[in-house]
Amino acid sequence: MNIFLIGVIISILAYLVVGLYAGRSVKDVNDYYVSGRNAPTLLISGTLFASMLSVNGFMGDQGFCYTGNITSLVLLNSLCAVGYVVGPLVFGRYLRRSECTTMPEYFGTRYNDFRNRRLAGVITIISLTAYLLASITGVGILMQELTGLSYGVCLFLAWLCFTAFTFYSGSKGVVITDTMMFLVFLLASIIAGPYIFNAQGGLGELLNNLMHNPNIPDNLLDFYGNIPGTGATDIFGAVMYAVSMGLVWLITVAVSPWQAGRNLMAKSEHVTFRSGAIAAICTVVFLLYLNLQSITVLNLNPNLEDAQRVLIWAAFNTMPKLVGTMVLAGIMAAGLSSASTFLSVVGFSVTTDLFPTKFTSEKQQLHTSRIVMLVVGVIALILAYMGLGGVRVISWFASTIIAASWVVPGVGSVVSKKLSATGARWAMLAGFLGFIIPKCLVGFGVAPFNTIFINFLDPFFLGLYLSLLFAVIGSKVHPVTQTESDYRTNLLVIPRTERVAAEYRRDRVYGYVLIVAGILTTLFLLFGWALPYNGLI
Amino acid sequence: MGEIIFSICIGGFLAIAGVLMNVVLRKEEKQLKEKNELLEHSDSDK
Repeated sequence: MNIFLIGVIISILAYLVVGLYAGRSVKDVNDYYVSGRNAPTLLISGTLFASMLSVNGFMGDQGFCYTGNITSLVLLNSLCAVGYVVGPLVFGRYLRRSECTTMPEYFGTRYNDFRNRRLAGVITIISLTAYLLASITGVGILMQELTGLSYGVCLFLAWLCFTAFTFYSGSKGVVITDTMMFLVFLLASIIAGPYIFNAQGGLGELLNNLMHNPNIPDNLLDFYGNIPGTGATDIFGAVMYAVSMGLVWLITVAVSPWQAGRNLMAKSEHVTFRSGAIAAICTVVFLLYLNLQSITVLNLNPNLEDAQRVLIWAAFNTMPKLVGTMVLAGIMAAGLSSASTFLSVVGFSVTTDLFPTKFTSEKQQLHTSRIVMLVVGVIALILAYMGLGGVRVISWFASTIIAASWVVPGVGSVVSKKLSATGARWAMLAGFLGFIIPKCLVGFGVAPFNTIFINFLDPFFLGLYLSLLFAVIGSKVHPVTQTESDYRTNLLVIPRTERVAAEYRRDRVYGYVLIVAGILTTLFLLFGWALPYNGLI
Repeated sequence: MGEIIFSICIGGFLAIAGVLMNVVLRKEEKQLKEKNELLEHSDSDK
């Protein structure tokens, strides 16, 4: 039995024990769906960041850096981070204030129409099942590489781990294990960094070594990065790729159910602001630190056959086995935490958002929710065994499509007096179809669409534009009713429990920390890269 | 030159987000104070 297999088994057992133990405190539906609505800042920021960062964050994204696009990714992440701060201010706090248990329920309640809830539920189930399959597959492949066990066994082990505590403990288990996994990959990466940097002379020598390394990708150190890597043909196109994708992810973290939906569990609205600030700092600072580790490997081994395995190569070759095992367990944790969030959100929606079910008691609803969660988990496992997690078309339904579909009805539910139930529903459907149809045309290489639908004509933005158009048309055809208007008016009233002066003072500390983190990041980039690279110091 | 602007933007976005958060919440707090609705202590503290 190798050390990596031991590490995998120990970490899975730890998540299982903690996740199942959390289930002992699940007394009612509120506990199961929204963790009793009392999660503190650490747990919300942990689940936010862990749900966002999957295996792809440690593999695909790091391969992108290794092949010359670290600047593209850093720019993308810095824009994405803004979504974590703006999201709770314009949408997340109102979502929590509604006291709904799922985001589709919010759409049904806010617009006083079950059809809105059902449509949002269907979109949630389609999109997050696709994301769940991609996550399970990623973890299965990684575990197979590390342990030497067969892919089928690894897939089952990974599935068993997150399904067991998600089924039994619901959000109580998910939020605490997400935070555990967040701390595992955070600490592992922080500890591993110095080993990787020191293998080529230390972080201080990184820029100098790269500048004198003839084997680095073209334009790695320029602000626009490796142009072909972004699919562009010139500098402007390369920068626009990063900016447009950054805005896509800014919107995604602000309104998607596996990100904004975490706010439903927060102890207060102030917790949503603070958690967003922490997630934003992690997105810029922690991921920059991780990206620097990936490009450091260019000075150690510039000819990796599979760039995606850059951090795995580093874990095996630049650090003690124990630290390497921690890094690999951290990458696996990133995948498991995303999978548990996706499974829970899909399970909740299947139970409550598709049909107007009347439960005879809370106990019956809790029992039904658990059975549905297990059934959804089993179906996901079967689909993963059928290989659907690796199918390219399936991946198009995952992640950002929900944001294209939901940003107009979501943010509009707060800021617009004129957006009606019909407008919101049409906007949601138009955003979904407006994304997926162009995505298929681009994905299948249908000319001329594959060259036209880029940057601000990316399928995401086409979905967004259509969503806006149909929101206006739908609201003209069937205007806002008095009930919808009254609900929105009440939603904008700050609850008494949120009006405490001391809470606002604490929020401001987080705001100042964001400002300081931003200034320090700029100084680090200026003096560590921009000025010396241009020969100015 | 591009690298310098890039560096300022990366940290700048984070700092602007922090400023935005503080401005929005400070304005909200001020409005509550003017309407005499800002609580010095939470109800559970009393």
